[in-house]
Amino acid sequence: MSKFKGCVLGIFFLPFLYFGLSADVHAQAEPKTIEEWRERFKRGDPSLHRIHPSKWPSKEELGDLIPPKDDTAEKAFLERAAKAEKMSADLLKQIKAGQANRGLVDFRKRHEKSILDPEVSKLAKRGQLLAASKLYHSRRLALASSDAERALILESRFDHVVLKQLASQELAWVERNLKSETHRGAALISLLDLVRLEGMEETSSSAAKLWAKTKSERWIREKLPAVKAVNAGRQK
Amino acid sequence: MNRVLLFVLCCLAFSGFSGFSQDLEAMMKLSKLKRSYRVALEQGDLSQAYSQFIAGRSAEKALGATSQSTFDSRQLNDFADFKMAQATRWLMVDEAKTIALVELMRLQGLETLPAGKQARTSLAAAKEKDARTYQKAQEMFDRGSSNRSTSQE
Repeated sequence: MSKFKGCVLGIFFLPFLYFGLSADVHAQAEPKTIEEWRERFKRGDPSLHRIHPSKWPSKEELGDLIPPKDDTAEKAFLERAAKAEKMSADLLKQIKAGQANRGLVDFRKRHEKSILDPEVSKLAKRGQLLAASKLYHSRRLALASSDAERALILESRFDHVVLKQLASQELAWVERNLKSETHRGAALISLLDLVRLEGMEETSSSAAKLWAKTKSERWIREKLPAVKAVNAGRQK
Repeated sequence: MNRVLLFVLCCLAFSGFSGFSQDLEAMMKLSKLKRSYRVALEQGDLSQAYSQFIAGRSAEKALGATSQSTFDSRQLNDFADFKMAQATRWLMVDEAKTIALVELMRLQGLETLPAGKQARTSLAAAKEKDARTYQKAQEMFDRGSSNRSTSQE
């Protein structure tokens, strides 16, 4: 409670304290005697202009002393000019940076278009996820004309819409069907495709973890010939 | 906001509008179906997604929806087509034939989808071509189905 009272009183008295102090500062800044006025007139002290003209001594009292130059407006002008100069320099810098990045922007646009590549979609929908991922990854890398762009491609996540959706559904499907005695053969074929996906680190690493967990199971040996035959593309 | 709206609707429903209450019940059932449909799709559970899709369609009809369905069948069809294409490819490999047939048998359960119809045609052709392998696959599939129904019970 006492803390609360202290806060309230503090907030209440703070303005008085501030204005009191500032009044004191101004009082100190204002010459008290005519000698002090004269002395600061002789020095050409421009801060005298902060004192209201009504408080200045009369011309008779000051004699032939010339009032100091009022540089307040000049200072304000110089401040404004410096600010404007800085702002224009910053703008110029931004424009130059924009021009330098224009190539990068174009590259990004080309890259964005690739996420809807119809050929990749077609291949993925035909059940050839691995082939689709290889095609998409190679197409992405072919967009790069410099090492910087290549690095950008490898860092960025421009996943192909259909490919990503099917791969994530397939991974979930595999995870569930590995547990089923009837469907684990099919799940195993798909799992080994998912492990080898290119440019889809998230999916392929999850699949690799799943494979690491599964490969020691006893039933793997029984299903392996079918998996090998499918992977070898051994068709009639 | 939706919860507030739902609360208001519930209050109105309990205050004696029996027809309104039925509609509200149907709407709630529909939103539940939609949610489980989406989850099943994300998990690649085709049979579950399909049953939710069919139930959702009939719930929409019960509500008198005349416009296009709010159940997006694109993802369901995409994944069903994908699994169908996979099974067709595996069917061409001798060592993987049984596996492929079992998957096709599961896919034929998606009766109204193009992939389901295609699976039925492929299975009929496969049965005619190699009845023994088909029989083996059928036994395997039936065993799996009976195991599934036992575990569900």
